[in-house]
Parts: sequence; C-alpha cells; structure tokens
Amino acid sequence: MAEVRIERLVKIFPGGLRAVDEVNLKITDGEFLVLLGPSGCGKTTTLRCVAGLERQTSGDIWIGDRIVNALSPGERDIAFVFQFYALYPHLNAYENIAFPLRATKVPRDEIDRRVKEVADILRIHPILRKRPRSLGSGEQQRVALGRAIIRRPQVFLMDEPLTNLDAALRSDMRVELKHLQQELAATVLYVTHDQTEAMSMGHRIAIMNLGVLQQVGTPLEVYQNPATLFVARFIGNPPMNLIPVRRVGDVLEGTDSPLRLVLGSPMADPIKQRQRAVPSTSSGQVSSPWAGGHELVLGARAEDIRLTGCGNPGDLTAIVATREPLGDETLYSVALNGRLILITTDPTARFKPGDKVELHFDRSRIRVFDAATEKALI
Amino acid sequence: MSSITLQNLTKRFGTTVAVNDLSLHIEDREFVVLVGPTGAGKTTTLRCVAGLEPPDKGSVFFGSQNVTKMSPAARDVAFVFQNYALYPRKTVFENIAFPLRARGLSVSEIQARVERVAHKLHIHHLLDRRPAQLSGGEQQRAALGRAMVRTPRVFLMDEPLTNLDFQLRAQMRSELKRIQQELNITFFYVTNDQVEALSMGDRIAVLNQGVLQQVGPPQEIYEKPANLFVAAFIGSTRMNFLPCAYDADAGALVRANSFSCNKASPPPRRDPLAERRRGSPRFPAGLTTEAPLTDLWSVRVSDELRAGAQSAKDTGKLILGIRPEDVQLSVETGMGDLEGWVYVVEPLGDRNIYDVQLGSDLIKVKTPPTLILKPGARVSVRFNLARAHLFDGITERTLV
Repeated sequence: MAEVRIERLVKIFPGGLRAVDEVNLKITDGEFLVLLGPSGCGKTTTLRCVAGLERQTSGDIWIGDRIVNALSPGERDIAFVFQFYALYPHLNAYENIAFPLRATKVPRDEIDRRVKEVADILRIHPILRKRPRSLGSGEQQRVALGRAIIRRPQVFLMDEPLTNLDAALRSDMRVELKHLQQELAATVLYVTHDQTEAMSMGHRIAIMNLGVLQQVGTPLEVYQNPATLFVARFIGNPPMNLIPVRRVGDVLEGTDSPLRLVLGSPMADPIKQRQRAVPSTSSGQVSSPWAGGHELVLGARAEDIRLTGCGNPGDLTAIVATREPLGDETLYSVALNGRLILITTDPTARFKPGDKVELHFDRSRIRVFDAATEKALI
Repeated sequence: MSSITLQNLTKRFGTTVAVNDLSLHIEDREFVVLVGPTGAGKTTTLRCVAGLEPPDKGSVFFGSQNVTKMSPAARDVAFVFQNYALYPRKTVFENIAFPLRARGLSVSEIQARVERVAHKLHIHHLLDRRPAQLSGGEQQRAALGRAMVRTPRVFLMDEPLTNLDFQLRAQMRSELKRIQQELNITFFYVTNDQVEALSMGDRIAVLNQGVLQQVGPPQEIYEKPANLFVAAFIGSTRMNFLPCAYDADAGALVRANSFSCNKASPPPRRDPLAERRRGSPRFPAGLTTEAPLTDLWSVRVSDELRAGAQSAKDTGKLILGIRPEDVQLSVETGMGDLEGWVYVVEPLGDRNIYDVQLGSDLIKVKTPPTLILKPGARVSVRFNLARAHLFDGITERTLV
C-alpha cells in the first residue's frame, strides 16, 4: 500500500466551471480518508483525477513516490470501486473474484491460492460456487469487495459504493468495509455525501464545498470543532444549532433573540487572548471580530444544551415547540425568532409542547463563528 | 375533524393478502403513524381509508359515520403523497387556492384562507413563486398548504418526507408535528422510517405482512416491543439478538448454536438470527489474541428472566434481546460478565457505536464519545439485564 498526495489540484471544466480549486490533501499509507460534501462540491472530480479518469487543469497527484499525472488509469495501480454489486451474472462468485487476475495471465494455481485467501478474509468460502442471483445482497457485496482486493492495488478509490443499498445493509457494509480496511491496512480514498458514513468509517474526513476544501480532521474534530459554518451545518444529525449573536463585554447577546450568554472562564480566556493578539498584527486597520457589535454566530450541538424547568434560570427562556422521542434519547425543539433550536435529552425528560423551559449552554463546548467570513473564531 | 376507526379491514390482491383483519382506532386530533417495511400493507390501508381502494372485508368509520362505500371526494380527506404533485406553471398561491377555486368561493375569501394557511406554514413570502423556484422543503409545505386550505376532516399522508435529504427531513419532522398540533386535526401518517414514527406519532401502529403487530405510544413500543419483529424494526441502531438456551441447573442463559425460527415472518432488516459471521474471529494486522475466543458464554439471570425463560415453548430456543445502550464496555477484564474484542468503532460525534465480537456474534454497543478503544482491544461486556428482553425463539413473542 502507498500514500497518496494531492498537491494544488485545480480542475476547470470547459465552460469555466472551477470544480476543484487548489486542493491539497495527503492520505497516509494505511489511512481511510473520506472526502465528504454535497453534490456538485468537486469530490468526485477530485477522485477521478486521482484515478486518472479525468485530467486535472493543474497540480500534481502522487501515488507512493511517483507523480502519476501522465499515467493512464491502468498504470496507476489503483482499484476504483463505484458500486459494490456490479458482478458478472453469468460467473459464479469464485470467477467474479478471479476475473481481474485472469486478464493479467497470473498462473492458475496462483489465482486459486489468492481467491481462497480473499474468501478467507471475507468469510465467503461456502458461497464461492454460487452465481450472483442466488446470493443475498450482503453476500454479493462481499464478493464485489473480494474482486476489488484480489489485485492488491496500492490504493482503493471508492465513489459512494453503498448508496444504492437499503439502510440496514448499508450499516452492515459500513462495518464490514471498515473492518476489511483495518485488516488489510489499505489506503482508501472514499467519496460520499453522507455524513454518517463519513463519521463512522473515516480515520479522517476532508469536507469540500464549491470546489474548496473546508476542513480536514478526525470525525471528532470536525464534529466538535467545525472550522466553518458550512462544516457546522453539514456534520452531525441533527446539525449544530447556529444563533446570530453580538458580543457585549463578557456577554454574547442574541442579535434577533433574547439569548443572553454570560461567558464563564473557559470561554472568556480564549477571547481575551485573541483580543490581545489582534493589535500586534502589522495592519492597523484590522478590527477584531471580537470587537463589540461585530456580527457573530454562536454554535452549539443539541447535546451541549441542557433543558431545565423554570426554577433554574439559564441563558435563554423559551417555549417547547416539539418533543420527538427517538427511543434512546428525546429531541426537543424550541422556537427562537422563526428558527428552531434543537436539544437532545435522555428519554426520561418529560417536557411538553407549550412548557416554559430554560436553556443552559455548555460553556466548554460552544463554538463562535465570524458571520462575515463564516470561519470559526473558537 | 373526526376520529377514524378501521374495523376488521381486509384487502386482497389476487392471492396476496395485503391487509389482514386490521382493526385500529385513531382518536379525533390524534397523530397516528402506521409504520412497517416495504410491502407491509401500509399504503393499501391508507388508500382504503381515503376511498381509493375498496376493502374486501371490514369497514372504515369517520366518527360514527360509516364511510366504507363513500367516494374519496365525499369523505372530505386530504391526501399528501411523497411526490408533491404541485402544478408547475402555477404560483404557490394558485396551487394552494386551487381546491377553493373548484368550490367557487369568493375571491376575498380565497385570499384570506390562502394567506392564513401560508402563515401557519411559514411560506407567506413565497406565494408569488413557482414550484421550480422552491427548495424541497418549501415545495413540501406548499403541497401541505393545498391539502390544508379546505380544512378536511382528516389528513392522510403517505411517506411525505421520503424525497427530502436527511437534514431537511429532520427539520420537516418537527414542522409537521408543530403544524398538526396547531391545526388540531387528525393525522394518519404512513412511513417505513422508524425515526419518523417514534418522533412524530402520538401513537405508533407497527404493521408487517398485512398484520398489525403492536399499537402504542413511542416510548412503549421502544421499551416494550410485543415481539421479535417490533424489537428489530424499531430503534436507530438495531437491537442485539443472541440465540440462547435456559440452563435450569445453573439458573443461567447460555449461548446456543443458531437455530432458525419456525414462523414464516422474517424479521424486517437482516435476519438477526442468521449466522452471518462464521469461523474464527479476525483481527487487524499485527494484533494477536491471547486465547482463542470461546463461543460458550452464560449469564446468570433474575427471577423475572428465569420465569420468562421457563414459560417458553422450548427453553432451548430463546433469544436474548438487548439494545446497544444497555450494554456496557469496560477495559478491565474480569469486571464484566463476558469477554469480547473490538471489531470496529464508529464515532458518530455525540456517541460511539462499537461492534464487539462476542464469540461468533457481533454485537453493537453505544458508548459516550469519550470512550476510545482500538480495534482488536479486549473488552469486558456487561449486559444491563434489567433492561433486557427475552423472546420465544419459536413463536417470536416477547417473554420478558
């Protein structure tokens, strides 16, 4: 297996669409990296440039220690997986797995040995003689996985391979694919628009929007510390609550809502540090985004807000709009000037729509974004 | 506004029984969700209520009025489908006004009604736009507006959120629930998504293969499923199912080899009893196990579970059901009941879902995001048996 480096990649399509804009990304040897974003963000174009199916406008692709810009897809030693279940219906599972080797004239006994090895890893020995249509879809997926891994490529490139599966099978395949990647210590670049898939499978996640890389980090990093408002909205189910605020002294005040959040020590300290840091920059024109009156956005995850009854004053008083039991937890919403704030609680909480409640924001977990640049300040 | 009563409703298509002797009462102003997998008979049931499909047997009542033989129009229901079927060339205003125009209401009356509905749905600023200029959620609300504008007796909805992306769907769940509360109108809602059912319904009716499995409030369905089907179908991360047998001498449940259920009805997702992972456990490269995993485990059980086990048809064919949040993981061996290995970790931000190999079973465990264990790590597994379920492996009924 090898590492992959994408350096200053730009892809401009005829007509001028800048699909990929100066993307730098390194996938280390043995890493499972997920490229995540909405449709049209440039993630598939990036992947196709790495595969050699698309020629970039500028920038370099490294696989291992060579630049592969000029190499054809076949010469790059990659396995490209679109969907896992595109099997040849007239071939049995064994022949489907062996197929990529048959084309390369590997000796018969070597092919047999490698098919058995792959079948062992995937635990599909009992079904090797069956044809795809007599297999369950989970088994078909594993056979397709087998066909992808038998060539022992340097890198796996996967483009939404689980999209067409039903929810239960998708969740099983996530687990199997992740386990297989661990076992082979394979380098995987995986493209998806599904944030749950990205969170659950990737060692790191690279989030793209409009051709631009927004953030690269571990699932927990991008979840807890989104670098931009886009990432905050895209990652997490439910997405992060975002509330327009202004800073007045040590208080964040809702711009269009009665929110009043007095900053405790964990929050006030980084703010003070930043304020001190700003005047030391060379330009005298810079006004700190922390200056009073600057438009900010407060970000808080649903689980980082606590609900209490009225006896216990919090940062915001609100009326419960909806209560959604989800079994292992309950999702509440309160209306705040036309938008809904979502709060998760354990399933024992018993507030009803119409109840007056107090919201308490966990000071150590909240984020603040600059409304103008959409970038995270803390 | 009206209650809805289904009485022994049966509908066949050729030899297929789509809906089998279904009885269900929906209170006036109640939000009831009919949930089940594809092909369960949900849509057929809804179409019988709407009058789009005549039942073979049984009756439909709105309040005390038998509407079984009435035409769809005479029933005064509003029906919202997953494809919104808005008129593309008309504005949102005209789309919403359409059912009123057909009734010959005055211009000012129409204006007033459309605006009232648009306000409730928060789309009053979009009234001049055409459907193509709206987002999926806005189109959905416009379609709702058209259904609401003539204040029908009941609202029937067939998977209205299916075509929306997950964030919009989550948002629309809250919206729909708010709208239902505000309109104070009877909602009968069909979906295959258990999250929608739990989150929106005052009560949930679970349907499988045309047969009603259980009716109750969301928390009750989640915590006290009536049978294996409901237990497997409801819950975001599937309940763990462990085939086991009752050992009377030890007062314990012991791991049994997998067996297949006699009943025809397969559980909805993948068969939880299927032996999907055979052979020896596998570990990431470079990790070795200290001892081979044994497939034999046993857990001593409470009086309640024991009594349940003894009431089974065959005490050798039981299924222990335990939800991912009712399993505890710990790195200190010897502390828990059972020993396993981390197979895969799925960090989801607000939680981690661990797949843990326990003998030849893989179980799912929900932990706080702060618990970090590497694949291949050895863990103690403890079941919170006070919250465990026991199913009869033959009848698939809940014992405990």
